[in-house]
Amino acid sequence: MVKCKISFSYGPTEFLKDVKIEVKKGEILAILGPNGSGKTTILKCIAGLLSPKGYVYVDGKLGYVPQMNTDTYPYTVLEMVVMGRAPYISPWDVPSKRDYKIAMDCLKSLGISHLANKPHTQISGGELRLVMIARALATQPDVLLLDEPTAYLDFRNSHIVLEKIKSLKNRDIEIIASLHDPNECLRFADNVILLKDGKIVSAGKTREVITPENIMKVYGVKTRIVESDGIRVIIPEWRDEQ
Amino acid sequence: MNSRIRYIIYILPVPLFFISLTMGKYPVNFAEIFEDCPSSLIVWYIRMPRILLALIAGASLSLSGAVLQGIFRNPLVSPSILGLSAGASFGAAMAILFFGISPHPLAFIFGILAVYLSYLIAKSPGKATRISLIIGGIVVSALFSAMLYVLKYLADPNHLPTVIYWLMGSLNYTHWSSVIVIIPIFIICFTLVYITRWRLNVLSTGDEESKVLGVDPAKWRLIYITLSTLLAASVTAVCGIIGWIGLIVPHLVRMAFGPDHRYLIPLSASAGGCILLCADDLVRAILPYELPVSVLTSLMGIPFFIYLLRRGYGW
Amino acid sequence: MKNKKVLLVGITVAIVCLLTTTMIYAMFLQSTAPKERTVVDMAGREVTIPYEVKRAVVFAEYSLVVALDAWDCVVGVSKYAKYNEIMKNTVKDIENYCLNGSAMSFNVEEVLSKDPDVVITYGGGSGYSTPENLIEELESAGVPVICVNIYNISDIYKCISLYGEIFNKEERAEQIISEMQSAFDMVKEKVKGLPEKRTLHTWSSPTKVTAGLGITHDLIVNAGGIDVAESLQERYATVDIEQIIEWDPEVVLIWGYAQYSPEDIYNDTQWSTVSAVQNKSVYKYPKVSTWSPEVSVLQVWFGVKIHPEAFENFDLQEYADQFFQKIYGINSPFEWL
Repeated sequence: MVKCKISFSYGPTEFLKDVKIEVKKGEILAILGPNGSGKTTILKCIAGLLSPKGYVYVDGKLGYVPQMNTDTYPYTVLEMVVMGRAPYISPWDVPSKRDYKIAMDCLKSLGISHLANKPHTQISGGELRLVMIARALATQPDVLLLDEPTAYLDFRNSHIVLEKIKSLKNRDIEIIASLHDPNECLRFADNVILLKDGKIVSAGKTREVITPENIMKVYGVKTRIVESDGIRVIIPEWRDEQ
Repeated sequence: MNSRIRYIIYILPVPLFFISLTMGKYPVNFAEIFEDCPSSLIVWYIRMPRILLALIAGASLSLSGAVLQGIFRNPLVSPSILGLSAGASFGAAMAILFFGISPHPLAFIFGILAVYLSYLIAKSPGKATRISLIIGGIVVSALFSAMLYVLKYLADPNHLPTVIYWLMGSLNYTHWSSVIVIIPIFIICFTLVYITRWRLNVLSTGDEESKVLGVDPAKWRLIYITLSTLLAASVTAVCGIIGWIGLIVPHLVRMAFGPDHRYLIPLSASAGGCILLCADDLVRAILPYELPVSVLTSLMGIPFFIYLLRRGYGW
Repeated sequence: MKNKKVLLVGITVAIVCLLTTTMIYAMFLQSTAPKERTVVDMAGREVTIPYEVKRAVVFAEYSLVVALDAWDCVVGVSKYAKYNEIMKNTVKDIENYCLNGSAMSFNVEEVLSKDPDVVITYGGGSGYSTPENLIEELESAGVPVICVNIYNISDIYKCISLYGEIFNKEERAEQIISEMQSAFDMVKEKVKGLPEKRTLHTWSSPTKVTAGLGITHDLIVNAGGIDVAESLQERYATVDIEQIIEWDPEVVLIWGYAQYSPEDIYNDTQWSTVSAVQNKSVYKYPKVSTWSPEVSVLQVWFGVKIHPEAFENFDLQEYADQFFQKIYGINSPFEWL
């Protein structure tokens, strides 16, 4: 369970204003908004990386998958994932056999166990993203934060990542993910927070939030909804197709 | 296969120790070493302290470099990056040129002072980040280098050669008194670094990720900088500036055995000790008169480097 | 007719007067014209200096100028001169002569401000010498620069002769050289036939030693000693203490400016088996320059320490005082123990 109401300023400029979030077990919340609207900042505040005004309440362990992976030494995939066990390993210990088994299981659950001994610098962007998710999962979190999990991924890899994330619902993990594509929200988020300039424009069930009106308000793009076989898609309208 | 080589490297210091004991300019009669005679004096009071110092100094420098390369996430970092060498040089020069006393204590004090100053400068914008630490190191190094230059200018030219030789780093004329001081520092620092070595893995993957995983990067950076500085400062205070070991050995070990600090830390220590011991044996026992040992360590490192780079192990 | 004759006589007289005046003027110029001469300095350079050197700036071996009795020709010396025991006791206001620089580094403008007619400094050899660019700057400003460098005792003689030539004190220079020679000869004579003793000379560190080259090596050999490190053929060699034990010197002589004393050697376990330590034959000489005439006294000191038996009734201090009086006109400012 995650509950927060935060305001945050980078220096003198107010960046986030009164952002209120509530997520319950087994829910996927998407944070949607244009570039610079504050998505990453919100996630960092919840993760404890930034100190906002207001309160942040997180019930249980937290896993965090950042947007960009820091350039680092060529640790193997398994070594990267086992780092997720750090909260359980005291400073004077090294990971135990059990820690490695849990790490392997996380890899297996995301279908990338075959990469275990490969240096993480030698795998594709999509695979790396999955490795980072596996690492966050190794923490056995109750809450999983993902910052733009599909950023810089191609068509196929985006699809795989989102599918895997959706499958985590069954594990009773609360998921908060920042997304840039409204259709991704429609596809897999239960609830959505729509942000513009650090303020919430709309929040609630996905289908209620992702509407052409709201999209127009936030993105300034004319759209329409198309539905097929129960799957809803929002399509931008091009001027010359009118 | 890799693990077998690892174990060989772990125990290599032991045979090297004994082999080194047999090397030297004086024809030692090993049958007599438990009696009261020159051979005994040489083995117990001259060779042994120097060999131990070589092993410990090499291990300390290498360990110091490995730790810094971990927290700075940069394999080209060495113990001198935070101003240690510049500060120690200044302290030693001051001791020799103006107080006529032994350079060791002041070299230690100023070495540590320099790093502390770098840290303060790095913290001034609020938080010590990797970049601000490196900038702090550059500033402090420049400061102490300038002051050293002034010292040299004002000094009695009769004493300048002493300073210059000290700066080049050597294990010549080692007494037990130097070794006794270094041993506890090494044992404490090595133990602390060794038992926390896995945390370096986590730290080196990024500040944000570390923090969320419960490893506070600011706190651990301070701890590791302190340990690394103590290790390098103690060696510098006793031997002068021995370069390259802190930079090259961890780098080579990483290229050959991977970046996992569970192995990198003990391997760096062992390899560093062995390499410095071999270099010092050459200088002490084989060359007709002594060169500063850092001349040799740099020469030894380069071909190794080129070889491994060509094998393409990446970092 | 008469007018023409007067004119002729007048012109002749005028011409004669003109010629005479010219001749007298030329002779006058000749006798006061500053002549120059060429000397060859110790770096092999041919340097043109004034016939009479009156304003010399001396960075090297300034005590020699005192010994040559030519101090009135000096207008400036190195900053270290005011710390020099000999200079302090021979030139009352030595501080007034000291510039802010030394041979290693000086300000060309400061030197030029003294309006020197020659500058004498170290150069041309490896080691302690003035940077090339400073020498060039002086020369392009029209100041001749004399370079000296000293590696052995014959170099010291050469230097003395050269200074004698420069300051027109050749006779005095000869005197100094001959005094030095007799000192060396005296020592050689006294130690003749005596069994040579293994000797080690140490520098700024007990393991940095003379090894077959340089003045200290010559001093050892002349005093009837064997330079134990001779095989290395270096002026300064840092060796392992083990090597010193293997050589086993009977006498150890420590450089005057070293920051350690014989006590430090006696108290060091690592030296305990060395003969010189067991015989308590470790000595340190006073802070004398080995590049100046007083190195002769140092030679005698070497002789006394290496072969004390040949100098039994010899009063070294008295000898030193006499030598210093002859050379510098003062008693020895150093204590010779």
